[in-house]
Amino acid sequence: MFMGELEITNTNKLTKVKMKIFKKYMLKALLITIFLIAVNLIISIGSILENREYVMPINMQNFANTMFFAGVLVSLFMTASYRSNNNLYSVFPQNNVSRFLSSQIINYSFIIFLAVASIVAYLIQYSIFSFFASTYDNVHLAYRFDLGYVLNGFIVFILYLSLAFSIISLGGVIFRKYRLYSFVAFMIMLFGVAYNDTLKAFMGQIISIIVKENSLILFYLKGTLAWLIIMVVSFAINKNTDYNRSEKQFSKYVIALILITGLVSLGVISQVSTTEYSSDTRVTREEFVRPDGQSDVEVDVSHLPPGSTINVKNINGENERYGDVHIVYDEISKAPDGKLIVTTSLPMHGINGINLIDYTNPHTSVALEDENLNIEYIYDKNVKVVIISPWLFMYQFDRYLGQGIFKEILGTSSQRGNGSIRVIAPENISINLINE
Amino acid sequence: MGKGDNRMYDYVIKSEKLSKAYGNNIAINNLSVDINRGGIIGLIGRNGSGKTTFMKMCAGLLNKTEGELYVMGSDPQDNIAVAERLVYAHHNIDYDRNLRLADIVYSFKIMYSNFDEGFALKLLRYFELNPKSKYNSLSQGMMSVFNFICALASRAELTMLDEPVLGMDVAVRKSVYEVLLRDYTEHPRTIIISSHLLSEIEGVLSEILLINKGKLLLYEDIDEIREIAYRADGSKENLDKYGYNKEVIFYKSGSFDSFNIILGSLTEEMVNDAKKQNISLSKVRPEEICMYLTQDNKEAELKCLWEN
Repeated sequence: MFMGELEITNTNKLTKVKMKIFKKYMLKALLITIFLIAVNLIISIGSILENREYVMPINMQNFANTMFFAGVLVSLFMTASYRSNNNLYSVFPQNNVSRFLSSQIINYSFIIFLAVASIVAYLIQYSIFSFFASTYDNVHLAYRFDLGYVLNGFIVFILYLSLAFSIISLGGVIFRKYRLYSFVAFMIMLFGVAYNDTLKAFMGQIISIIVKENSLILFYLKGTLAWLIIMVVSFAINKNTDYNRSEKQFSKYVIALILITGLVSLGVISQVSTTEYSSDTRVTREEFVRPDGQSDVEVDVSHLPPGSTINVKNINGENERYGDVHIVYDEISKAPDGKLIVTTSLPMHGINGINLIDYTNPHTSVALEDENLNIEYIYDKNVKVVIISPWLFMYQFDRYLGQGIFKEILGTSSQRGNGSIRVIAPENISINLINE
Repeated sequence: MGKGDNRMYDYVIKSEKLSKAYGNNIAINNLSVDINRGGIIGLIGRNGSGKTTFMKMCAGLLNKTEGELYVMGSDPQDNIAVAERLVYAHHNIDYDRNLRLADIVYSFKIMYSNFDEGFALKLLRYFELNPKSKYNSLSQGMMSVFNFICALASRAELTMLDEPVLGMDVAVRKSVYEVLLRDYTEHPRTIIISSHLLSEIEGVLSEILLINKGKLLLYEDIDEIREIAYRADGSKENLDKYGYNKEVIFYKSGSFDSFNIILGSLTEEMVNDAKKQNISLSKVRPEEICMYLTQDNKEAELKCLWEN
């Protein structure tokens, strides 16, 4: 139908020949990957061995992220240099079909390489740091290991990268077929999408069919189908493209005009489509403090005569990182008679949705000696929280959300906030805060 | 004739009114020729005569603009059935810079079912090429030798060598021609060599295809070419008289020497008759015939160079 036996055999042979070169480049890519993993591990292990007074997040490199973007860049390069790449094999028998298919096989071999490298990098990272976590009490892993997640992430990675490759490849095929006309059409389309909200919404809907699908099975089906359609279209266009066609001779003035139009258009579009995200919102202290991080301590002050004054002293040093949990005297609220209530709201140190304070075993020590109340905010020091979150795009699948197996947000986020220790006294007892 | 595998063909290459233009520049102009199977054929022409364009079209690496072209009975364009049965070696072959000669030989082995790897490796040794050397590190002459080795060892039904001796020194060129002839004797097939140095390859050729400015001038057996023209030397007046009613393809009239190149077969009788008119007739070597057929007479322009 699409190709004969001769073409299949020739594709196999040509792929074998190309694979020989590809392997050499892969070896270089592998060495670079190993180097990057090693550097990342050395730096991270160094951080683990450092002694710090506070809790320290150790963010491990998400190699799937790096690999994905490396893959997209390589695909763009391979598509842009399709002709010059193939010139390196032009001495060997081939035709449009075998030439295209062998290039595609090489591209997809590269995707497999990237996916395997990503999973191996994750497993290495996880094994090493789970060893540290089991050996040292102060080392914790932020996310747990989930085999299903890892395996599905592997397939999702391959599917997304394949889709990216196929779209780039389709762009290349269209460009080779229609040359400058395709560029003009692309610019017009870009203008259309940038200026027309209906078109923009339509494009968004098409993309969301895949990127917002939260069922894994449906995602696999939709992704594979979309990939298949794009590849068949690319294959068909490529098959009907005259590879040896001479470049149509355009007047250099026409080319210059088109290029200038293109550049100006890109400039205009980038201005129109850029949304300003300048955010000047300041999060209030109350929002930082976790409501569920509260704990109450009751102190018996029934033995103190009415009218007594209790001196409240913060034992924590001023310069300690979490020593800045402020002690506040709540004059409005009143504790029951004979009791002093000390309410602690924990501070916040969030990284990508993880509150590092949770790993520090925080609690408040309250001791009444005569009329002196010593309050101390106690937490484990030198705690290391290792954050290893593999894969990309997995936050679109509901089944993995909220299970503590990966970073569930796009990009990075951090939240910081002070805690507070509120002292509530009963009637007839006054409080004197001593801030050293 | 279609695109499929057609092993029953009369001519290894058949072109009818074939043309190829690069923009306004016409490289092949209405070329019609039927090239026989078997033999070592010289594709001769001056620089820019269209030799490489013609070979590339035959190899399926260039599209024709007009006309018909069949290689081994089929259209070579985008046709694997044809491509797998021919090899086209030229001096500008581009390989990945990481490839060693042994890797390229191995690639040829994968791509060509008849490729004789052992023979290729022996030839590498014979021409003192290290299989571990990288292709890009070779000199132009060594690259040409290597390309020649790969093409020859492919044992393709149609072997096309485009300027195969470019950059080689005389000794290597001599060896290359010897190897070519011996291998052809062992494994007869069709070998087309393009060159503008006919004197060197004359000895190995069985036929000559002469093209100039994209047009076919002649396609003849090498022995017949020697008979297609002769040279007449004498004074300008005598030559003008002698050349009357004859097809003069080239003339030169100078202070020191004047001669005409005249189409036709030379006989003993003609030589004797000419002597009586103070004209000396002699045979012309194939290389000279090709040169005169393709050379524009620029006698007047040459004289102008030293005039004020």
